[in-house]
Amino acid sequence: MINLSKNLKIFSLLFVFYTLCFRYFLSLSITSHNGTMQWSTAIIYGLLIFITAWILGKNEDITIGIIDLGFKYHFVTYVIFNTIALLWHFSEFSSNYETVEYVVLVIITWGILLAIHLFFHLIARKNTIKGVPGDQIFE
Amino acid sequence: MKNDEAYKQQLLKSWEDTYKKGQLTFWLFLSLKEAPKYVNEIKEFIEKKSNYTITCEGQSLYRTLRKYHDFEMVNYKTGKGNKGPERKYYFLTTLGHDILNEFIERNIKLFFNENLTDLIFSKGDDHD
Repeated sequence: MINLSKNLKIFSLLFVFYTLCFRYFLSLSITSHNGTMQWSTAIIYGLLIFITAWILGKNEDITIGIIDLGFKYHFVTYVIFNTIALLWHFSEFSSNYETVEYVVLVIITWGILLAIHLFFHLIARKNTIKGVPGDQIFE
Repeated sequence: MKNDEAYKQQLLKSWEDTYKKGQLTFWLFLSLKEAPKYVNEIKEFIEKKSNYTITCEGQSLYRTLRKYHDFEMVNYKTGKGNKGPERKYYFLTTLGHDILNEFIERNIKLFFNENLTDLIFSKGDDHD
C-alpha cells in the first residue's frame, strides 16, 4: 500500500477535479470540432497540474522518504488519469471519436514510462537511508 | 596580499563557516548526552559550551530534531514548562547514543593522541 503524505492527498483530490474538467471540455471540443478549445484545454490542464504539483511538492512537510516523492506523485497521477479515462469511456461520456483503443494506448505507453521511472527510482533509492540521500541526513 | 590581515580573516571565516556547518549535530547530540533538554536549553548549551562560536536558530533546531526523531536517533517526552504550555524534552535513544559514541571514537579521540596534540598546539614552521 502506497503511503500518501497530506500534500499528496490534496494533490490527488485536485487532480481528480482537474481531470474530470479536462475530460468534459475535451469531449465537448471534439464533438463540436473546436480545435482551439482542444488545445487550450490541454494546455490549461497541463499548466494546472504542473503548478499544483510544484507548490505542493515544494511544501511537503516530511523529513524521511523525500526521494520517494517524485515517483509517488507520478504513480498517483497515472492511476487517477487512466482510471477516470476508462470510467469516462465506459460511462459513455466521451465523444464518438474517442475510442477505447486510445485510452488503452495511453495506459500502455505511459505505463512503460512509469516502469522506466520506477527502475531509475529503485536505483537511486539504493543509495539512501529511509529514502533520504546519505549526505543530506546530517547536513 | 598574503600578509594582509583582512585577507587572512576572510579565508579563516570561510573555513570556519564550512567547519561549523558540520558541527551542529555533534553539539546537539552532546547536549542531549548530558541530559534530556527542551529546545531553548539545547540552544543555550550549544552556544555556551562552544564559547558562542556555534549559534543556532530555534526553528532550525526544531527541524533538525524532528528529522533525527524520524531517523530514531532522538526521542522526546512531554513535561511541564515554567508557567507556559507543556514542553518537549528531547533525549538520545540507544541508537543515538551508539552513533555519538562511535563518532567520538573515530573522529574526536584522535585529536587526543599525544603526537597530534603537540602538533596542533605547536607554532609551526614557516616554509615561505
